[in-house]
Amino acid sequence: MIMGGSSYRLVRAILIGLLGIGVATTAQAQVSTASLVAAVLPSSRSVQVGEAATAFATIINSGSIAGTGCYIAPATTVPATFTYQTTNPSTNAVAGSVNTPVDIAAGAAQSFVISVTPNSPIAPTSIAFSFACTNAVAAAVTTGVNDLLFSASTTPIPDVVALVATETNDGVIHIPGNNGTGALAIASVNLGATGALTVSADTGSAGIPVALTICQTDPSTGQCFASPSATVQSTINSGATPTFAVFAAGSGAIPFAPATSRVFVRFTDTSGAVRGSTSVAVQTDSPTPVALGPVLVPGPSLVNTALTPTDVGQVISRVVQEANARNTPATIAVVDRVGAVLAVYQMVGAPTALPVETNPNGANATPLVDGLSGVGSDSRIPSTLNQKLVPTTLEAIAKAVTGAYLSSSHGNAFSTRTASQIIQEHFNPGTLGAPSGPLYGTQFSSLPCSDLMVAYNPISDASTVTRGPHRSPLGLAGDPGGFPLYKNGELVGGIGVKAAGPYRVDEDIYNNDNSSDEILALAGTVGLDAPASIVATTITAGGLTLRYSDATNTDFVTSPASAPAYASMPTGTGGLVDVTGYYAAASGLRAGSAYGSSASGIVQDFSGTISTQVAPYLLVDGNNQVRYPAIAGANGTLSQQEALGLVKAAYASGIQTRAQIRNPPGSVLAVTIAVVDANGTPIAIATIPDAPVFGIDVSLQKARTAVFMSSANGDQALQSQSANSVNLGLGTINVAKFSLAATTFFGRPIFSSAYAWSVRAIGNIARPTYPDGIDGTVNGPLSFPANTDTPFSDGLQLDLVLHNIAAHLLYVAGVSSTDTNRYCTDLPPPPGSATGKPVIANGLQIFPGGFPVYRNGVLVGGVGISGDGVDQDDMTAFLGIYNAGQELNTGIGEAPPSIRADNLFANGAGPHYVNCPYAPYVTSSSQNLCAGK
Amino acid sequence: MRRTILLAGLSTITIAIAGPDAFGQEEFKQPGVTTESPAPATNPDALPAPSSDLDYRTVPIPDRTRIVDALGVPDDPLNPYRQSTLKGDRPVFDDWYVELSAVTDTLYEARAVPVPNDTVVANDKTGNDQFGKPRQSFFSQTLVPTFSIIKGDTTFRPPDFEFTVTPAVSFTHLGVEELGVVDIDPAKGRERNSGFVGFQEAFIDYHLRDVSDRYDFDSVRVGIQPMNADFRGFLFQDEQLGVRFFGDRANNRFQYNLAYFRRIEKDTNSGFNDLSKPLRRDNIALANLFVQDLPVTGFTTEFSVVENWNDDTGQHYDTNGFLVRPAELGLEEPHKYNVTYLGLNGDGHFGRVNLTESFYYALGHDSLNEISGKPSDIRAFFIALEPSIDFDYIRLRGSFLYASGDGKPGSGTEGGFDAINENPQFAGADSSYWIREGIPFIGGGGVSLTGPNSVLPALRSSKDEGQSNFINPGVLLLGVGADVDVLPELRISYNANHLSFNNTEILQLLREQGNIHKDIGWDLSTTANWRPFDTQNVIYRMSGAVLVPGQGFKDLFSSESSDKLYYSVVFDVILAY
Repeated sequence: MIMGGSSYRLVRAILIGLLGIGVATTAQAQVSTASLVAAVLPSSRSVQVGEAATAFATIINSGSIAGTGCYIAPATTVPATFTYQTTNPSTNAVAGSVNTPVDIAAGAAQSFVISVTPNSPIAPTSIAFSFACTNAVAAAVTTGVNDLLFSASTTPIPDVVALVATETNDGVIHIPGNNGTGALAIASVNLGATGALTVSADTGSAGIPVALTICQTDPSTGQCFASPSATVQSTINSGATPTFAVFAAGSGAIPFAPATSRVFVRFTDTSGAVRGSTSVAVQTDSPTPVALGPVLVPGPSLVNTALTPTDVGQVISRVVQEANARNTPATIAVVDRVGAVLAVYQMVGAPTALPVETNPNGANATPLVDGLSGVGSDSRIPSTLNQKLVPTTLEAIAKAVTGAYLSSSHGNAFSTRTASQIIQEHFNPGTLGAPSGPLYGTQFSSLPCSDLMVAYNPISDASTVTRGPHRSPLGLAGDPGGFPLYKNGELVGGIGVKAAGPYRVDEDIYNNDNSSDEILALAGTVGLDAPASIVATTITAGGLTLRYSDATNTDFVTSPASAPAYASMPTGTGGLVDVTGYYAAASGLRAGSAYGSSASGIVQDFSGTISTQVAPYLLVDGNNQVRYPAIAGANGTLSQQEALGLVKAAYASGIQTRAQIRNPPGSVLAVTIAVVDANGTPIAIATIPDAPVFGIDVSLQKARTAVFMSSANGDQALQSQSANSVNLGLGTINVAKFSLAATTFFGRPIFSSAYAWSVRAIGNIARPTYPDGIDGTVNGPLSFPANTDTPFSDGLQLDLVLHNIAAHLLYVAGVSSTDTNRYCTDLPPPPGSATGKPVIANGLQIFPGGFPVYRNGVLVGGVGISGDGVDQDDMTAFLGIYNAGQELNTGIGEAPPSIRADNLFANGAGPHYVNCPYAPYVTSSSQNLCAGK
Repeated sequence: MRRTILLAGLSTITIAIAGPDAFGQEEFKQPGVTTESPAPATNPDALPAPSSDLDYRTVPIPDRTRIVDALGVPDDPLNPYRQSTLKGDRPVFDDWYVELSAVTDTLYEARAVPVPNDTVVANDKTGNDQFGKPRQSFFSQTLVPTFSIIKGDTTFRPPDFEFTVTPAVSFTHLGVEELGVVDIDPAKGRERNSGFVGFQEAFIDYHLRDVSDRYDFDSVRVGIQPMNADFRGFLFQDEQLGVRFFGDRANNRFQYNLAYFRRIEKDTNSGFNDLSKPLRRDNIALANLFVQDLPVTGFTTEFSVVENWNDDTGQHYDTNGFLVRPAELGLEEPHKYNVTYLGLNGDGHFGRVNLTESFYYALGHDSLNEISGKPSDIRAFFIALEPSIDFDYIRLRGSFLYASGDGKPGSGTEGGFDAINENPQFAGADSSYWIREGIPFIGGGGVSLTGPNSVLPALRSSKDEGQSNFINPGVLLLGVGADVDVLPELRISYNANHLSFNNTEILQLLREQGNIHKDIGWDLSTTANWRPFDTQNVIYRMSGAVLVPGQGFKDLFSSESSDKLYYSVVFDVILAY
């Protein structure tokens, strides 16, 4: 291997070209984690079997803290052995030991030499590498920048190592103006056998408006030997060092997108195998390139970080110590990132049941007797639960799940207090006239009846946690005292504590609640607390700061960090308790699954099927099979190609979109995308890396809600449910009345295919005031009047599933041996359904981010998005449908404007169909992306 | 010698009656100045010039102000240029005068400003994105009558006593293209008619004493009264309830004000004082001293200290239902603050170069930083300079204004400058787009990037009703302008200002948006002022302004309209009696 000493500088130039490092240092400095980018040079090698091929690699840590234990590992499987070793960048001499991780200081770069020794012949293959640290997400994989095009043969073959130089020496071909021409010089050396090679230039898979020509040049003058043409034929002798020039003639604007807009130069032998290649970014310099956000693409999460039983014990011990000191015995639940319960610990004397708040509208309001607040009034409930109460074990689990589900590793850390702030009838709570919280309705997601969320199975869970995101017994919680848990900068789970007071929401965000639940839970997070740079209080929605915790470390009366080990806790303080359907005390303290590992039930897919830019996460089952691959919809409504096209288009839009709830400002969003057919059957689900888990269930709810309400039999199905029997003292629930009220409200049936309903529009009429937020008005027809509507009883959404929750509570309490159905609602299945399930089989959702898909005016499916700001969710779904329609050209697309729900009008206002955000993309400064669509 | 005759119950009248030939040649004596008799006549044929020591034949008459009655000059209450009892030309009895005046202002404005789409409702005209259609039309009819009762001879010295009341009647009409703009309730539609009667003045002015022969004086004024803390309305220009001691010294070379104000709530749509609401818990104390001819003759320098304590910790909603206190920004928690503004202002000329300058340093304490949730110090400053020079009928102006921004929102110091209630007469003032228009900070909270008639991008909920906000991006204005007196009665002004933010961190934080550029853009405006009678009694004004948005403005705002031009065209007729 022969490499010049300038390789390091070239690598840096490539990286600078890739991410604008050096010019964007101020933006990068806001990232307070290690953040990696990487490059490999040369970008191709071809060797004989058994021969080692080496290349240089550099990792730059552009984050603000040191990366620890940084390493390189192949991410593509090839029959070859791989090593890596650090080098001295000035001399390229090896330093350090083989295959030994190193630390990389903030802002520093580390050079490596990597070696690939093939064991058998390998056709030209792009080997991707994982350049990662234990505390940093692996660098994004960019073809031509940090992969290695590798091939091996049993016979000697050419092995062309090519290096490039651009006019500006920044790793970028700058084309002056949209129709100008830029140039690129290539120096090559054939380290292998003599061979006849075709040298060509192309733009890879990207469609870039540029015409490329190439010539071989005189190394001493740089002049072309012949006129540039599409290819150059050249026999390159072993050891020869020919030079070439490539000319790039632009025919349109090429934005600065070094991950995608690249020019590749390839050396292809007579067999068609590529034996050498290199690449460089290309852009047009006029108009002035738009400055990009600090993060172009979120990298994948690490797969090796999880809560250990020791961690879980530590969390419990810290809470117990503080609770003992306060004489406030508590019930504690710890879950992993996908909601698997790792322990439920109940202290001696802790309340076994506490009521759901009955007066969220204020101390003087009429106490509620319906909704969740009324749940429990049944003589069959054990006296230990005092009737009319909900077990504190379930409340603690719901809070722990909420802390884990609403948060992400690198974007946001939300607590149940955050949830409380964004699910009430005003945002902020207490601001009259302000619209409802952006996530109004999210409390009724990840429900125990959801057909997507998995349930704990005492048999399969004896050895391993059931895979996939787990259901929550009460949906998501707004009761302060639930937090996410972090380890090595990665979200690994959540903690929920219930010790005193009702299970509630916080209506007065100005005061300090002095919530003992929250103080105790916060004590449990010590040592596993959220990174300060992403806690809710550093994130704004609509200019308003989100809340995280009223409790602070100064509230502790003990030192949580010095709590004893779990095994050394004083005897008699309490113990692990069984929770039917969630946890068996006999299994002890469990280990959490690492998010992204097979055990977590959500793994990263590098196939490139959905995105070649950012590898998505997909739900998998116990056999590691994708649970919701792209398939054709029922009855020929949507083809497999269309299902894939919809998820791809939404994903492609999503990974350019500015996040609302991820720090630093200008980050890219992370959401889950669900595509369903006209029966509500999921036909594709994909998650952008690091998306909060709650969005998985919610995205499906949204896609289904849009389909159900837009379908021909929405009203019919709802009106068939005039008397849904609910145990637990709640009598019968009448769902039909909401459909009838909606008909009256607008003076016509509105859920009968005449109108296309987005979930935003549904939400507009599912609020206790109409228009949303305007006090003193009538309620939306799918809601209750403002004086009785609460986050625990919000109308149609809860009433559709309240009997499911009730059945589940009876099952958990041991009264009933039958759990809820594993699908929500008792609505009749759609006509012709093969599954027999209702359309909204995981419940209705009423905050924005779901749209129906039409073909020639006929409803054929829906797309739902969840995990970021509601306008972002809205746009990602809306543009996904629009762009898929444009790209596929098969007739699918948005609902015709003439039938969208925003044509309806009542009480001075109409529902709003879609609202796309300001400054929507980090990759451009365009606004109004949804106009006219 | 002059004879002065005091007639009980009437003004003290001194009429000097010399020979008809001497009338008009009298040199009035100045108190304290001894004038010598003129030199003897050198023309022996000429009559001797009358001496200032001439023994006047002084006769008492009951009322000097009615002396012209005898000449047949009638009292004409309708023509302010004739003798009028209603205009204080003649006393109504004794030395009590009344003075009535009235101004009517009829204004129509067509404008385009960034407007948000209502996110929760729609109807057939609503678009799919955050930004709605920008066009608005605004009509305003204001009638401001003033009624004063004044005691005292107003010819030479300040009145002894004055009572003034100025009710103000406003009718406004606002038409917009989007819902949720004219009222928080989108069901209220796209138009708003609003009427209001407020009291802009209601004060008693009492002349405490004269302190010199030249009527240097001390007075006190109590009640709702106008106040401007500097020459150009940069800090506090308002009509507020207060007590003000004021006066002058050394032949008016020094002027001072010592004042305390407690602010009255404002009506949202008229901006007038609303006495039906409890007073705000906002106090202002002010002390200033104007020194003439400092540092050079022709230049007046003002030293001032203004203290503002705000304890507006309750929730307050404006007339249209929007929360204004606490501002919907950051934590949206009630907070109080006290700020001391140290000011050094000046106005005048250095030779041929006219100059207005303003400098304020604000230091204080905020009980709660809306970003960090912790108490914060306030340290901010402001500087404005306007040099100008006249060439014949053209005045060329340069404008420089810098208001510091908060570069580290949430740190222990709030570094963005905000005024108490600004009304800047600067760089085109209310004909400039940036200063004239209120621009909602769409997506960043229930606040305005900049309020109406404001130059500071203070992110306040309301200039009139909100609290000051020192967590703001700050602004740099660089401009040139010209005032051209095309005709004696027609002045045309041109202004071109370039605006940029000083720190966009707070904007990025509130919008969760990276890379918001600093460049706001170019504000180009022109104004025609036509005073057909060369008086202030009839003024026609027409102005047009456009904002050519820079990258920073484009990063923040757009509109659904096909024309993304932000403009303002104003027609204004002011009639005064």
